Amino acid sequence: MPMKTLLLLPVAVVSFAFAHNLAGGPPAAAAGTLAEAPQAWTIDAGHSSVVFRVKHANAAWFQGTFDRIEGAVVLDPAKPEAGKVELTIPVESIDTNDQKRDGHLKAPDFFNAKENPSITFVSEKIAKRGDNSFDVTGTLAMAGKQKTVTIPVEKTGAGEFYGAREGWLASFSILRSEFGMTYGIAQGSLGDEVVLTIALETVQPKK
Amino acid sequence: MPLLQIVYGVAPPIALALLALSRWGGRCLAVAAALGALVAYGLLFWRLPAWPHELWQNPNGIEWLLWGLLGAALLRLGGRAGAIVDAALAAAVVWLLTGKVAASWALGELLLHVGGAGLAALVLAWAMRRSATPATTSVLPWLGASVLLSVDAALLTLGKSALLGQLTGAFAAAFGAAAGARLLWRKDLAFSAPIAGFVAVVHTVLLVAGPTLAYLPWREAGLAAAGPLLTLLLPRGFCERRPGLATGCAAVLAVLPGIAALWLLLGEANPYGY
Repeated sequence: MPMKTLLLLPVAVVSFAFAHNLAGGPPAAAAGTLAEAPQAWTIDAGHSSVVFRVKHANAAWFQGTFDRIEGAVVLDPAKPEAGKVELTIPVESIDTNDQKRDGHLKAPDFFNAKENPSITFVSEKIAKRGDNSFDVTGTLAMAGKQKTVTIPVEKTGAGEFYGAREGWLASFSILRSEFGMTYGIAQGSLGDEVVLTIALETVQPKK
Repeated sequence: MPLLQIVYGVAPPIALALLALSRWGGRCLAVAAALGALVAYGLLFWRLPAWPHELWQNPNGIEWLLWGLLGAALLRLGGRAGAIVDAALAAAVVWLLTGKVAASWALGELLLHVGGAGLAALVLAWAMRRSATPATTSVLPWLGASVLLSVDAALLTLGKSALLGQLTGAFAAAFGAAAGARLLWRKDLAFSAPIAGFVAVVHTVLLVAGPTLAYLPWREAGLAAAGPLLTLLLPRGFCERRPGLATGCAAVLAVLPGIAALWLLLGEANPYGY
């Protein structure tokens, strides 16, 4: 191979990288547009919580939280099929009461937070199950993998506090291996099943 | 770390390296090491990595890194051309592995990573070819490569990614197997310039992946990455007159900054001590 041609190789690679960067990367499943809709109730992050639990060493259920959640809900109990739910949970907000463990959970062994900074859920179908309960089916994306899940959601109440508010509770299980997070499963140090409990308070948009 | 996890990481590259060495000598060792790392990844996650065409749609930095290093292992050239190709390969692999992270970067940041990796690989490949190849049939360059990558593996593990550490350890294990084969089988293995270039690419790319995909601080990554440059302190005349001793000195010099980086990291809290 001639020397001049070889010298062009690094230049070609760097140029290609620029072109790719300018064109933008591949599309990612993202939540966040629903909050701009006029009828959407936005999540009051200060009164919402995301708690997860996973079995440690096949013994105790160990709990952790994500300290931030964003998103919006449109859900009219009379017309649930027209509803929509979008949630975004920043992985950086994980909190297991131990900074070292939080750091490891953000690393490529688990959430791979630098590449996948958020956990997102975007609903596709909402069906009524009871007077105040619904099945919300949608795409859950985390650690670079997506999966369709159905989440049972219960309306826990409605009230007034600087505007109309509604409460929602969802508790469901996932297998983290289905999202590529298999670290520690084969050795039995950390379970595969993760139980998530999401309690949301949504606020009616100001008219 | 549980024993089984370590076995999953090192057994495939050792087995494939020994197979390649017994059948084809040192020529295919780079390919065996890269394939070994891919198999190790499969065993650790109990699933195969996505194929490159799938990664194009849904990127995953570590899986791109593994495929990129396999590509680099396949494209081995000697001479000055080889060092330039190594630089281009290192830049290309870093560009691929940062694909998703770089979506939020400015153009300059991407240039710094891709161009910096290319430049680092060029200089490191040159330094490693210069210091390792005089004693081409000695066990020392194989041992030196294995120790250098083992130190990288320890650094990446302390950089909060046991996975990246294990994958680097897979490459170290393959070169360790070559050193063992050279000692035990008395096999005539040549640590050729293309092999030295491959070690430079692996060393560069993995130490860029540490801070980019995980949480290895840039200071420690840079310190360890620059290690092989110390071998340039050895006078050329010394390398030619005493090739065996010079390669031994080069191996020790190349690893010293990595050990210093480890010492700096060990001064901080153990990230797995929870």
